Amino acid sequence: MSPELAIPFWTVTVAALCATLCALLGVWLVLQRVSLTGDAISHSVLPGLALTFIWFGTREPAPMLIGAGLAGLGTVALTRLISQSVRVGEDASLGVVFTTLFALGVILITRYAAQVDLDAGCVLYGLVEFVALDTVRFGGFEIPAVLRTILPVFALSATFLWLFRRELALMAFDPGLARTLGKRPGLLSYALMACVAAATVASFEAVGSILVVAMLIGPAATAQLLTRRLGPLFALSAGLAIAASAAGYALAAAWNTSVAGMIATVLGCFYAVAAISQAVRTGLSHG
Amino acid sequence: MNPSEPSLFEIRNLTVAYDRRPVLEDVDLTIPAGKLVAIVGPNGAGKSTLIKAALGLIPRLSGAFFAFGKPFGRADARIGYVPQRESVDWDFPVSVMDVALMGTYGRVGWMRRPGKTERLAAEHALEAVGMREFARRQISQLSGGQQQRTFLARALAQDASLYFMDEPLAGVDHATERAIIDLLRGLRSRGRTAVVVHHDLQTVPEYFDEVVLLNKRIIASGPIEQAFTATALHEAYGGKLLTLGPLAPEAPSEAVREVRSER
Amino acid sequence: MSYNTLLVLSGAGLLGALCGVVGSFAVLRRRALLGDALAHATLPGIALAFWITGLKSLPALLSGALATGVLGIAALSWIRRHTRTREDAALGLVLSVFFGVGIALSRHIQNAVPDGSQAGLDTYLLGKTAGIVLQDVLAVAAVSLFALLGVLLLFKELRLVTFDAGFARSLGWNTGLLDLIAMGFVAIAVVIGLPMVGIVMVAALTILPAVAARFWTDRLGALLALAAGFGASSAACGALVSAAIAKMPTGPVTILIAGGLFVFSALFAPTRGALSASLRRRRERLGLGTRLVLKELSERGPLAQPETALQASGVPRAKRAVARSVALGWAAWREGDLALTPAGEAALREARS
Repeated sequence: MSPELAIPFWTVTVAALCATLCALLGVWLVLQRVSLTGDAISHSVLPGLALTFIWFGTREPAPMLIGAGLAGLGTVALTRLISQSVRVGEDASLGVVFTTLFALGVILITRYAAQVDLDAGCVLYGLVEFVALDTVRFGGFEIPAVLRTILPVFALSATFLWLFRRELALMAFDPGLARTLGKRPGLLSYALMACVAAATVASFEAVGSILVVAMLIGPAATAQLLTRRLGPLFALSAGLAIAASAAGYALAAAWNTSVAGMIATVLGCFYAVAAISQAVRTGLSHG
Repeated sequence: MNPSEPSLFEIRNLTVAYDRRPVLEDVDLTIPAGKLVAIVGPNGAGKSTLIKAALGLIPRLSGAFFAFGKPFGRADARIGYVPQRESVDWDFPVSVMDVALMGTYGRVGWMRRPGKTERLAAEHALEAVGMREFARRQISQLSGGQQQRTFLARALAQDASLYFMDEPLAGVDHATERAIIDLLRGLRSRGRTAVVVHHDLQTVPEYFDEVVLLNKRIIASGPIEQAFTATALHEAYGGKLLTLGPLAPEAPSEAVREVRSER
Repeated sequence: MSYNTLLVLSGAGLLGALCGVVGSFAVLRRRALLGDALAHATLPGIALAFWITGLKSLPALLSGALATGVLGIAALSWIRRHTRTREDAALGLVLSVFFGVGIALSRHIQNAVPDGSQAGLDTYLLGKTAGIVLQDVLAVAAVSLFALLGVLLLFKELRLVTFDAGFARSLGWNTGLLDLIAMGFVAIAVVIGLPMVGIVMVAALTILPAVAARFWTDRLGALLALAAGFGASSAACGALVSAAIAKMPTGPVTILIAGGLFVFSALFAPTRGALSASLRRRRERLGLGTRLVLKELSERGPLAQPETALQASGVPRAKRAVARSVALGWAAWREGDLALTPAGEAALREARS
């Protein structure tokens, strides 16, 4: 492939893979009403990543994923601990944990930026336009290095979501029943959050920790306005994620701006169109 | 209802819906002055909705209210409200005294502090419900009955002429129930009126003067002996009542037992 | 310390105090993350204001920030009222999409304006005390003081509407207006905090001090005072540290200090802190154990091997409970057997009454 074609191709591919991965996980976050936990995890993986970089001096996928996964699960566990000891509400205890961890991560990254080849800007909004430049050889092809993280995480998460689809549905609908049936909803929700942490890490370089929230929640929240059935909900979320990635890239190229920012903007537009048309429809049937 | 009695609060054509699902339909109700009025009905009958709508806390599709003989727009401090206990966060950082003082806020005006008069009123109110010694206690350290007494003290401190109370007797111990009933009678003897959402049909004739039987619409309302009949109860609660026929005021309790045993 | 440093510190301190106070009401109202959504939604406003005016004047940028921040909150309340999207999803969506729009706008401006004067906009992400001119510090201090005074005046109203909005409305109060005022205070705190603490971190300064203070007190007045103190010291120390050490963005440092205060509170606060809670549990268990020792001794008479016998009948920490009973004079050894003393009998009677 010529470089003129390879860069757009890989940029859109990486963005679409991240967006689809996040969208599929996001459906469960939205259905289980724990979107904010996804937001929190996407922030708090940062110190996990930074410490892995600093201690092991590596950007290999495996240690990165483990470090980030631990940070993500730590967030969930700490949040539960806090809301048990002072009853301040889930949102406040989440806010306490993830902001402190994120602050720690940003300081580590800022102070050791030279060593880890990451800067605070990348952490906040990602630079998907550069992923095509950092390539590795794989089976005779030059592929972006980030795919070494994204593809395994994608495969793992998709398998998890497929194998446990019934349990996840039961948990979203009736956690009490799930528990009495011996389905271990606690363990399952930790597993889901571990997938979210892994997906966040995989998408980190591409979209950063704040815009990944748009990818997690945007497609699922939009799809939820359009259908109430589970199968179409997943299909629609994935479709919206891919469409937003392609459209976001095209618009960013046209207006000479950030691809990740434009993807989030397009996802916001999708949601706005769906929400407004729904509101107008119900408004009409009311009147 | 006896037309010669002065009406204190009047509801005309009230309709309330949640998400297009009607919860109350065409409710007309007159509350006479100086009485204890029970609102009873099955779960989901709209009992809480009725008093929240009357206070203007939730929007209505249709209906007008008249209080003290005048059209009634927005709630004011002349009408007291005792919400359901579960409606607030009992871990909130305030003391029992702070809650009682809130009853006087309607008189104090914005941006001013409650003064000596208000403190005295709050203390008297706490005394009346037997909570004086707990005045400085944080509200999370109260039992369910004490929480309910604290809410009642707030209502007393407000010194309203008409009270709407949402299930004040739900989940309280026997002593608190007695204390609350004594309190309600005390209010009545001073010419005040209380409209109380109540869940225990057996105690209605003993505790209240008037009853409103509600199931999305008014099934019956008026003095106990006229409105609290087996026929009306049967209509309000559906087929769950087995005893039929005209009954003396005391008799509904037999029928009532059937309802309770099915719960 | 120079006069200027002192001024910056007091500006940061007042800002931190304001964040702590308005955040306390938000946390108690279970709206802690609303400020976070608002903060992220200010980015497009800052970028637009710069694009339109071409200036980096603080009032212009902050007016833009306030405009889109409020727009974000309006979008949230519209979503809540007119769609079936849940609150949590709506919050995350508004936060990330507005931030995305802001990133797209500021990248576009950066690429379109060749002289690189836009680079300053990035400092709004993580905050920077160094670049702020004295005049701006004075403005921040003045607004903070003014807003703090407003909260003080409306203390009674905010307390009631936070605790029991339904009752407030039954008094005839306009609770919608009060909510708007409370939200407005948060908006002011967040927006004037942007230059120092940054978009990403400023909302945390409204959450952390409030939650930390909650560990120490059950009184709202004391809670507000403590939260103000925690907020003020975090912000002032943050400004100081980031000015003194290179490569220390102000926002993250401030939040890390606030986080440290939170961890300290969570561990060491009396009654609610983790340490005192676990001590109390141990004491209670010990008290229970001692009482059970007395009960067993009074029912079974003197025991030859009390530790094993008591352990077998379910007395927790039997060995320590026995030692404690002896130390308190409630039980005594008589010819190798442990027996109840008259003082122990009295203690048991008292425990049972």
